[in-house]
Amino acid sequence: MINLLVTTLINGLLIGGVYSLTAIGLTLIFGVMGTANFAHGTFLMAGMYIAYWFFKLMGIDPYLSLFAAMALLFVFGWNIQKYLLSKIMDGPHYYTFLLTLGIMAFMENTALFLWPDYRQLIVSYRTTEISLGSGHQIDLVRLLAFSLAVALTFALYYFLSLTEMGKAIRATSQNKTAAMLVGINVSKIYCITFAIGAACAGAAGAVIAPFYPVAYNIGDIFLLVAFVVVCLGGMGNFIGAMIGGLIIGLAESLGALIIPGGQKQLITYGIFIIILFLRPKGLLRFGGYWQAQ
Amino acid sequence: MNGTENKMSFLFRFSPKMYYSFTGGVVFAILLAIPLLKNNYITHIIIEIFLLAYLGQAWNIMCGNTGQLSFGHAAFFGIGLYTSSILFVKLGVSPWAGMFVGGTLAFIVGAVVGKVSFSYGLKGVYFAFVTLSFAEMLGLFCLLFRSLTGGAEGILLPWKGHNPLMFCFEANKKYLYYYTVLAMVLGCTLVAHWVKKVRFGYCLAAIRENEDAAEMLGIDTAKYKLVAIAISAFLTALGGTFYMQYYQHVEPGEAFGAFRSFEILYPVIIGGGGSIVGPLLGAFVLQLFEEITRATMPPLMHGFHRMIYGVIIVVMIMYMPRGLVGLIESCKERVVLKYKIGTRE
Repeated sequence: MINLLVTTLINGLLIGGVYSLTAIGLTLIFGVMGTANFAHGTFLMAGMYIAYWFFKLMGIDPYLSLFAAMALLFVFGWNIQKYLLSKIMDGPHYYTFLLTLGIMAFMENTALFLWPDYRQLIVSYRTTEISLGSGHQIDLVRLLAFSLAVALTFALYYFLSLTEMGKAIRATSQNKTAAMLVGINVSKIYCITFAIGAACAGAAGAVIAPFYPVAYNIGDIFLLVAFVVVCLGGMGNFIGAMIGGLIIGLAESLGALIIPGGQKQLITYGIFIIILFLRPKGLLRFGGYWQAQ
Repeated sequence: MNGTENKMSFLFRFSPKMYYSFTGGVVFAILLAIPLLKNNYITHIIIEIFLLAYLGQAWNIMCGNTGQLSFGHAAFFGIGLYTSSILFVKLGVSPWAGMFVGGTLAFIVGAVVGKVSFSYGLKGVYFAFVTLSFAEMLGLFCLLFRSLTGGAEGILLPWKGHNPLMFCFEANKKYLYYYTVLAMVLGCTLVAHWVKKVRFGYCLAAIRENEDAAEMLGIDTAKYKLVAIAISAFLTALGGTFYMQYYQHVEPGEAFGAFRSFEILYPVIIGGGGSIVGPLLGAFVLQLFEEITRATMPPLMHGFHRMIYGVIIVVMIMYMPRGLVGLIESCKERVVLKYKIGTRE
């Protein structure tokens, strides 16, 4: 029994790392630009499909095509911000999320149209398990997903804290006008931020491709989870999203034990609703110096 | 005046109201006559259009007017659907009555959702996500309580013969369904029109334009939004019952899923949110488009129409945020500018 609990907790933590990465992308976009990116889930799905096709057509390991997925989604995100979103940023807020809704509808249904079935990316080491001693086994692919997600998260954190561009992004999220006054090209920052956010989602998609079914509607689930994490951690709060992702991963795994029928999303929804009514601005208020809005 | 009259001047002798009444009358006459064609396929398409228009109009009463978009109207739809169906299957209650029981339940649930959301100040994105999650949660609950709701298999309505009292019309004679849903669409449009005319509607519009300013003017925004969502929920639930009675079998995902919520809102956004005609026009165009693609494309082409909706929405938000209705309005303005200027009014 304890065995099961520990394994569940570990698995929850592992998937939580991926949730964190996805949520960080979303919170970055929301923190800097105030855009709620409904298409974030479909960016993740795009990352999955990129990994899948690179593997299927060229035999490239998904953990390598991770970088291709990130690059492609970076470019894609940049263009979406530059040509689509920037035009409506001055309008009412709900225009932006209707626009991202439209993008989501387009991307998801294009995937449905092209590939209506569920596919699996089967790597040779898919069933390899690592033993942690005292009988606990975890899947290698999950461990790799977690490690890569965490590595990318740290890389992004250091990018935001130490590089000029990262500081410019943080400055823009704190005060757009002041950033413009010090000479930061805000529209370019917006493009970069959206691109990074999309790349995060794409990376998350690529790392989970080995153990998640590759399907057109995977995005919906992850979008919701990412949003819950972002609400938990505070919109625009990087550390909050990171920790929130782990928390939600754990909670979901525990919930799967408790709730019959494997409807573990119920826990996620429940947490979400509770969070929103307790503190919509986020439960985790410590964010170091990277906390906007 | 002389020398500035042109060929089009005679058109401006009639007031806009006369044009609308005339067009409305013609359209209505055509719609009444459709079942006389005895073509089940056409009747079916138009029933689907009406149902979509009805649901869109109900959604519009809340969301088009207040600007707070609800992505979870499927929750109310499903509540109406399941309530009337469970009452029908387990207790033999006529769906006509069950419809209103479902509607009342949805009204209460809508009021609770509204009260909790708006009193806590949930707006915009947060509200959209809360409603989306709420609808999905209800769907999950339906899966869990198998004995009541039939779980994943959904509910299959027993056949009680041709019994209008029980909302069971013969499958081949769709005209009774047709007139029912036509009446519903008209009723909903009238409600939407009434809402816009009274002070309540103006308060909602104020909330949409600038909520903080509305608050400062003394409008209790939470209360008005609550009433709007409750009314909208009631109407949507009635539509849910009709859907069930028409299709006879529904699964929880079909009733409560995000797919259903989005399906309701696409026609309103594309047709023009906040207007009366918008949802009707949008439903007509989109449903027709869907049927055409379904009929002409090979059977394996899923999701093609929704792909196009996504593109249309993106393009619309950028260039025509007021939707098709906005497009028509701007065309009208240009015609008026071109031909009316120079005509003696």
